[in-house]
Amino acid sequence: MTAQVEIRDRRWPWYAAVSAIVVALTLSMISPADAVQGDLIRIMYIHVPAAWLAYLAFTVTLAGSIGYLATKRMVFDRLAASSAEVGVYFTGLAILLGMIWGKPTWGVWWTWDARLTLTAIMFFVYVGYLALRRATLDPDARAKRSAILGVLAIVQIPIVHFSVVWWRTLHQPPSIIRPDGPAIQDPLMVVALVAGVVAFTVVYAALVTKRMELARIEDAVVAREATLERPVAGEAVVAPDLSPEPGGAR
Amino acid sequence: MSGQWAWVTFASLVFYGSLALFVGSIVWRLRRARARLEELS
Amino acid sequence: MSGIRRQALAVARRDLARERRRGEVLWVTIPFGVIALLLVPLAIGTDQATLHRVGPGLYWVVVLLFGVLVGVRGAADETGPQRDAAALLGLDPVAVFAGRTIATSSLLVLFEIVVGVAAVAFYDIDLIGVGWLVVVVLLVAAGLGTLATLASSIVAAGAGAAALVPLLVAPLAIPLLLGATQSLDGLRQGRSILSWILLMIVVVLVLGIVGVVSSGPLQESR
Repeated sequence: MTAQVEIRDRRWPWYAAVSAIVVALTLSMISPADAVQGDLIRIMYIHVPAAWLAYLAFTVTLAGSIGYLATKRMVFDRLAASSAEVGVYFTGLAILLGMIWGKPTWGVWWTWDARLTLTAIMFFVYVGYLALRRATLDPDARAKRSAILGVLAIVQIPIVHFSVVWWRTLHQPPSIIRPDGPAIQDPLMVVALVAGVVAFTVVYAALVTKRMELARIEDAVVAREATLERPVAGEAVVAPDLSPEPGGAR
Repeated sequence: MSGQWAWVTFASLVFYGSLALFVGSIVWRLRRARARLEELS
Repeated sequence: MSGIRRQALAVARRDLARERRRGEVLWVTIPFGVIALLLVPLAIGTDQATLHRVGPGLYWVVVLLFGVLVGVRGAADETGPQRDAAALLGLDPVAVFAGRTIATSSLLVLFEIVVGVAAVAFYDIDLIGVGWLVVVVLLVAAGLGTLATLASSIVAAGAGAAALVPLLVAPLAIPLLLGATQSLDGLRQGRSILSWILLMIVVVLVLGIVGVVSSGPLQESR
C-alpha cells in the first residue's frame, strides 16, 4: 500500500476532455446532413465513439488484469477496475444511443442483430465484474479474483461472439432489414466522426485517470483505517461500517 | 426535419447528461475520499 | 497424475454424498425448475401449438438459469475453514476443481433429466434423435457445471454469492444455450448439428483449461 498519497487535485484531464468535446460537438453540428437519414446521422457522432470506447475499455481491463496477475502490482488492478467501470458506462450509453437512433430510423427500439446482442451481453459480463468487486472486500483477494474473471471474460467473449454471429446467420431477421450503416459521402462527415472518436478517447483517458486516483485514495483510506482500528479490533464486534463505501464501485 | 432534430437533441441530452452525471459521481466520490483521508491523517 | 485423479474422485464423492444427505438439488433446485416450466403457460397462455413451438427453448433457458443454482450450492459450502482444510490436507487445487466440477455436472445431468421429463409432458416436445440428445444433455451439463464451479470459486464465499454466481454465469453460458437450442432445432429439421456439438466441446475444453490454470491462484487467496 502506498504510504504517501498525493492529495493534489489535478485538473488537466478535465480541461483536455472539455476542449476535445467542444471541437467534436462543433464538427458534428456543422457537418452536412445525410442523404438518406437526414439529421439523424448526427447521432452517429456520439454513438460510434461510445461503442468504440466500450471495446477499448474492456481491452484495457484485460491488459490490467494480465498485468496484475503477472506483477501483483495494485496499480494494474486499479487500472482494470477503473477501465471496467468507465467501459460499462460507455457500453450502456452506446446501447441506449443505438436504441434512440434505431427508433426513428427502423421504427423499433431493438433489433436482434448480432452486434447489438453481443454488446448487450458484454454489458452484463462487465456489470458482473463490477458486482464481484463490490462483493469482495479484501483488496488482494479482490484484485486476484477480478483479474481472473477479467481474463475468463475475454477468453469466453470471442466464443460468445462466434456463436451469436452464427445463430444470426441461420435466422435472418424476417422483416427489419438493418443497413450496414449510412454511406459516408462527405469528407466533413469523416472528419467529424474521427474527431468524435479522438475526443471521447481523451474523455475516456481523463475518466480513467481520475477514477484510478479515486481508487488509490480509497485504498489508502482503507489501509489507514485498518491501522487505526487495530487497537480496538478485539474489543467488540461492531456493525459493518459502510461510511467510506467499501464497495464504492471500485 | 424538426422531428429528426428532436431525436438528435434527445440523444445528445442523454449522452451529455449522463456524462455529466458520471463525471459528477467521480468528482463527488473523489472529494469525499480526500476529505476522509485528511480526517484520518 | 493418478494421484490427482484419485483426489478429484474423492472430492466429487464427498460432494455427492453431501447432496445425498441434504438433497438440496433433488428437493429444492429441481422442483424450482419444474415450477418455472409450470409458470410459463400461465403467463403466456396455454395454446398447445405455441407451447409446442417454444417448449424446447424454454426448457434450455430454465436449465441455464436454474441449473446455475446447482453450482451455487458448491459456493455456499466453500467457506474459509473448508478451503483451509483442503489446503492442509494437501489436496491439489486442480483435483478440488475437477472433483467439484464432476459433482456439479453429474447433478446437472439429473436436473436436466427430471426437468426434461416435465418439459416433454407439459409442452408436448418431440424427442427426435435420442442419441444426439444424450450428447447435448451431457455437453450442457459439463459446460455449465464447469462454468458454475469456476464462477463460484471466483466469487468469495458468503454474502451475495447466491445472486452473483448466476449473474457471472448467465452471459458467459450463451454459447451453451445456443448450441443446445440450435442442436434441437437442427434435429427437428434434419440439419447437421455437428458444428454446434463441436462448439459446445470447445466451450467445455476452454472453460476446463481456465479452471485448471486458475485453481491454484484461487485457492491461495481467500
